[in-house]
Amino acid sequence: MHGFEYGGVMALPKILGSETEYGLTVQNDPEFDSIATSLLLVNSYNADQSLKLLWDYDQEDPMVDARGFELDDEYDIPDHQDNMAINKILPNGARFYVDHAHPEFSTPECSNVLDLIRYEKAGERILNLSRLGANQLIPNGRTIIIYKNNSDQKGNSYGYHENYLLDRRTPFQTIAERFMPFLVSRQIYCGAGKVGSENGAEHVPYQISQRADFFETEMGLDTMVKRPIINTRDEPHANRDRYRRLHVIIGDANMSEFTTYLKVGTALVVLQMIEDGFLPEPLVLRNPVRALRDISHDPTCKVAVPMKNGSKMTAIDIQRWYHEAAQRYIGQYPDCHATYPTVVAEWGFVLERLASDPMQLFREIDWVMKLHLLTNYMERRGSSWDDPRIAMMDLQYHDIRPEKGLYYVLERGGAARRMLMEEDIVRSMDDPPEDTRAYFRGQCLKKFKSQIFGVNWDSISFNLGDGPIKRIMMEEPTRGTKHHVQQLLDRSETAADLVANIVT
Amino acid sequence: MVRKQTRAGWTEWVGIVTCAESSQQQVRRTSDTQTNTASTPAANLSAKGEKLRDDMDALIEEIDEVLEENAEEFVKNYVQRGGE
Repeated sequence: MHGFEYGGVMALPKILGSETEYGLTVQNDPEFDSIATSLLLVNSYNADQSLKLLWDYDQEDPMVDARGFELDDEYDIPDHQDNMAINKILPNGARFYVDHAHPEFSTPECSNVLDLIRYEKAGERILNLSRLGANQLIPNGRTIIIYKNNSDQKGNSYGYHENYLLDRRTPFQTIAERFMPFLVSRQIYCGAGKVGSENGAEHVPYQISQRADFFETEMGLDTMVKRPIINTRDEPHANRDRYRRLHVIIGDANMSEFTTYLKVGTALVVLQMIEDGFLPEPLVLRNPVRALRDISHDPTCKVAVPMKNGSKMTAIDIQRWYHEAAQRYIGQYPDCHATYPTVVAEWGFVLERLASDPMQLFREIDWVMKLHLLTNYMERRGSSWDDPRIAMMDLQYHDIRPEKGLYYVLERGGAARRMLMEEDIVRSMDDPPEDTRAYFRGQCLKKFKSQIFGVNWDSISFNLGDGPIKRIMMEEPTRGTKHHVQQLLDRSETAADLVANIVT
Repeated sequence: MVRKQTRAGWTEWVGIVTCAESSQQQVRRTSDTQTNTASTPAANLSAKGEKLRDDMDALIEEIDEVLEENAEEFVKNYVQRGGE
């Protein structure tokens, strides 16, 4: 199955982004309506500058499957008025919108892991500002609360999705086979932790992942039912002949900056190795769905899961296999990417500690940070796992309010390892990344917002008053950078100038 | 010590939690550099241990202050529609 060429670093630049669906409630509102509250939130961010423009659904194909077929399920495109209400495109290049019954934030396209965590964290701050605005519009005594987690503890899960731009030439099956054992085992350093189990899984007091109980198949197009470990949605939001976008739906939303860094950084390295043919003989799990759950249910990280070749490996063994390959890869190609050597070093550091005693990572990894807090709380308060305060802490760890969220309490107390400067997060709420097409989108929103008609990831269209709508296609995510377009933007006073300057 | 759960098979599990109070942790907790796990003279360890306990006591106090009231009711009422 791996008959493609093996050579030097051939992989295309890995543009990436994340989508976070937030949990939501309104305190003291017995008739809480999640859709109405999500709409209120999305329309409360920077309300006076709120842009009246459309999300351009023409370019979307969520029913196309990477394995080569297309579903003919109906896919509802909202009318203009609804479209403008549920979609906000922000000057930092992000999309903030209502997805089903949740507010969702998609980061702009990023070129590296550090930018990704900066924009994901900016998203939390943007949600919180929206919350403060929306609270002014609801009856006194009620408060909107937003959680960056993935489960309501009652069998309902909402997603956190990573997106990685890959080379269309790499066969999907090659990616899926080699990425699957990595995704199943990586939760030991990127789980967000959860009290109890759900969805029919056997009872445990605490488990590593928020999401593991909800995955039921190995591969497929679904995201809401029968969730697959490998999602096959083939909607590149870019030149379809050149790229695919791997849509990774299995991850937990993380509060910890370091955990997010490791989750995304390691995925980038592994995907690049796969594209460069550096993992010719993949590991194969005998039962990936079962392994996912068994690993999540064992916070000692000692459970060994069966492999197809008859052996058994722990999640740490599997991760070490990938990590050793990564060490060889960066040894052989030291210029592969500026961020990779540090990612690989941190990855090794974390695997060593997971092997000797996972609790050593109580400043680094979300599930350990939460477990450490809960066990210390139980010890001091003489309570146990069935104490309702423990379930409350499990939820409140993910509260995005700086004054109430328990993650933020830890962060303030110096008990969370950080990767970012606060001013860089604040700056990222308004300014787009400079080295992807998000720069062009964001700068157009800043400069020509009154003349923008619609936006999608790979296009932006202008209403110039006379004549048809002018749509500019942006099928190449690595173009439209500051380097490419700053001069063009500088010499275009109006959107009409811009369009004329692009066409000529 | 962390209270041991009655459920069989959880002893080892509780054990790893207890390890969080090990000396290596105390050193790392009071240091800003994550990779610095060099050994510290034993005489300093108990002092650092006390510092760690005090920090954790303060943290738990703060948690009690910010934790939502009526935890049982609050958690029961948190119901989401599925997403994605």
